[in-house]
Amino acid sequence: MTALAAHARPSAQRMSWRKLAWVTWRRQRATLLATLGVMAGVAVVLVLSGTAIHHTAARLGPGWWNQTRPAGYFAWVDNVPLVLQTLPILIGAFAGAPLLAREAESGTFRFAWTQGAGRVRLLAAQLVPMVVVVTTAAAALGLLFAWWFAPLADGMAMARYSLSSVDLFAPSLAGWVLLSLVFGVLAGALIRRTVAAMGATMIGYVLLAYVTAMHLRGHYLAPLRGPEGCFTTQKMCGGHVIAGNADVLTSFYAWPDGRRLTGQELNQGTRWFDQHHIVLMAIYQPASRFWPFQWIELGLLSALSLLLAGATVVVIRRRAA
Amino acid sequence: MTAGVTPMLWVSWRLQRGALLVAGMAAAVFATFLVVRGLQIHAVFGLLARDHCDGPGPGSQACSALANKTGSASTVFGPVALTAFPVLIGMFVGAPMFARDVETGTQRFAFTQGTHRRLWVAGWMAFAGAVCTAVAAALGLLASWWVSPFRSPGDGPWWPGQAVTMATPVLLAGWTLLGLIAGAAVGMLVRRTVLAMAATGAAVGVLAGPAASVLRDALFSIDPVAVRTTPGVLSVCGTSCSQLVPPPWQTFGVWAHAGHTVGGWFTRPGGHLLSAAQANSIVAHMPQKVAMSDRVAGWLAAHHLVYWLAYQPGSRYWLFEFAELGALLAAAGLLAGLTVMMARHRAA
Repeated sequence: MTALAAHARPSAQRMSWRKLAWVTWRRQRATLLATLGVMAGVAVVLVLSGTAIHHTAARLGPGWWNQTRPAGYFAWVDNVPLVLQTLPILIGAFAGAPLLAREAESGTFRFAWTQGAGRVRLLAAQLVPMVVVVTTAAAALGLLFAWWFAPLADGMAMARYSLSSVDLFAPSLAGWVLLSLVFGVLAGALIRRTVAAMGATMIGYVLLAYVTAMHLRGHYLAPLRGPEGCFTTQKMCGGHVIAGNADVLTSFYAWPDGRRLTGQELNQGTRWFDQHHIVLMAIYQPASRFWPFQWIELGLLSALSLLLAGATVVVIRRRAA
Repeated sequence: MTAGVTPMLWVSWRLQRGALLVAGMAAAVFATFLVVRGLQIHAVFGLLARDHCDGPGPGSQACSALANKTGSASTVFGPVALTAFPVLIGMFVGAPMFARDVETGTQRFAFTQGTHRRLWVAGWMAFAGAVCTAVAAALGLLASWWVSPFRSPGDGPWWPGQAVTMATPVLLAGWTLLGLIAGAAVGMLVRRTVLAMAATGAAVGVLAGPAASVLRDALFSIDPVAVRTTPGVLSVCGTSCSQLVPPPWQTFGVWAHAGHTVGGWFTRPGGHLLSAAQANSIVAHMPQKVAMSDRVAGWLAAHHLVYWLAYQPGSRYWLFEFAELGALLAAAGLLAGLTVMMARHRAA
């Protein structure tokens, strides 16, 4: 047994949760307040811009977006979701990753882990309040975003399923913030270098979000199949099922019985398409599944976060103090 | 005794190799993505050209099926994502460059090795700056290549506008250098790595976003070309637009061909300029059936109104690119000087 390991043995008297909470507050108050400050700033932007959008939409009525967009009103609307998209990344990198990495890098973890609290209890005391506060704030921000977004969805300016907005509603945003935070903590525990852990958190989050958006989200439930519309020269035929805010995963030209057109058939002219009643078929998720998908995503992200938190516990329990 | 440049470069490499190698690897991964996806896009556009889908006329349904393959979401995704590069370089290479040494106290060792601290600081920034700028220029080249198939001759060199303005070899290199030096300056000032990274992210984000937009608007407003034209948005907007407070850069839905639109305005006979509010009140009196037709120009002429559009022609593209680069280099030089000054006044 090394001298360090001998010192690492926790003292017989365990520190109370109340004292741990006080220690956590003293150590994390700057990070927590800064995080909440940034989120409050985003909320102010949402309230101010949302009020203007709601006001204009109410005044001009249906079709307000088509009236205002060509003149350049609300040209910045596209940027607000992009700013919100960066929030989970920043929270994971700046609040999650340094939580354990900074202590490991500077060596102060030896002191922290030998004060009678126990390393796992100390981690729980640090992580749980942070997770509860930040995730709740993210859910509130998601609710605010839903209010901000409502006139845009009504005006068909943006689709709720669109890549830039689908993960910004309360359940999904809370899930992604939770995952990013826990992922950052795990990265810090594994890498033990603050800057490197921050970078790894950002890269990991972006990769996971990309894979989810491109390959997973559209398949939480088996997608439906139906005619998107008939692209004739004269008119759109009936059965236009993809109205509203449905998420069209893919579409293809097909015979009325649903068979896909071959490459050679695709080369026919428009008249041939009309004569044979060719339809544009779509594989899609209907608009009615939007909120179920939000809760499914929250559940999956919460489960993954629990797994990552468990992995963090395993990592720090195996590490010599 | 003062150490030579070669040992200093060697030490710079040894100290910064971790950050630079990781940044280089991340850039290489993203470059691979740009190349792979870019090749797919170029291949689809090659097929569109082969099947004569890129000319006028309806084309076959195969053309629309092909066009769908390009995917609207992926049009400028790569170049848009690249605009985060200067911010990330500032945060992950610039900010820790001095902050980490100052935070841990190892700058005392670095500053007492026989090389003047001004040279140390300048050498570190120059070395990292050269590497990051070269990588950024290469990524900017790839981004320009990615966007090129989407750009039709009428779009002009600025297409598709603000979202990817920065993703060119010249500007991405300039912004990356500024991001790096800004990060180094903030790190030297704040002396806390994580705090410096956050401050750099916020500062460079604001500089490269809203501030750059203001700078470009100011540059574009210098000596634009003005032409008489017909406003286009009236046919869409009708009388409803009069209820809105118009933005200052009202263009009424008409954009310059192959150039950058600066703004538009109405004049009365004798060149008397109308405010945007006055212009909107005129629009309010235009009958809906006129606004929805091609008789807008005749109606405006009957009311003795002329609509002007100001724009910067595409031939001035490189002038603006290098003007912005000059401003970025000047800002980076200023910040580098400040960083050296701060290092000079800091006790070892």
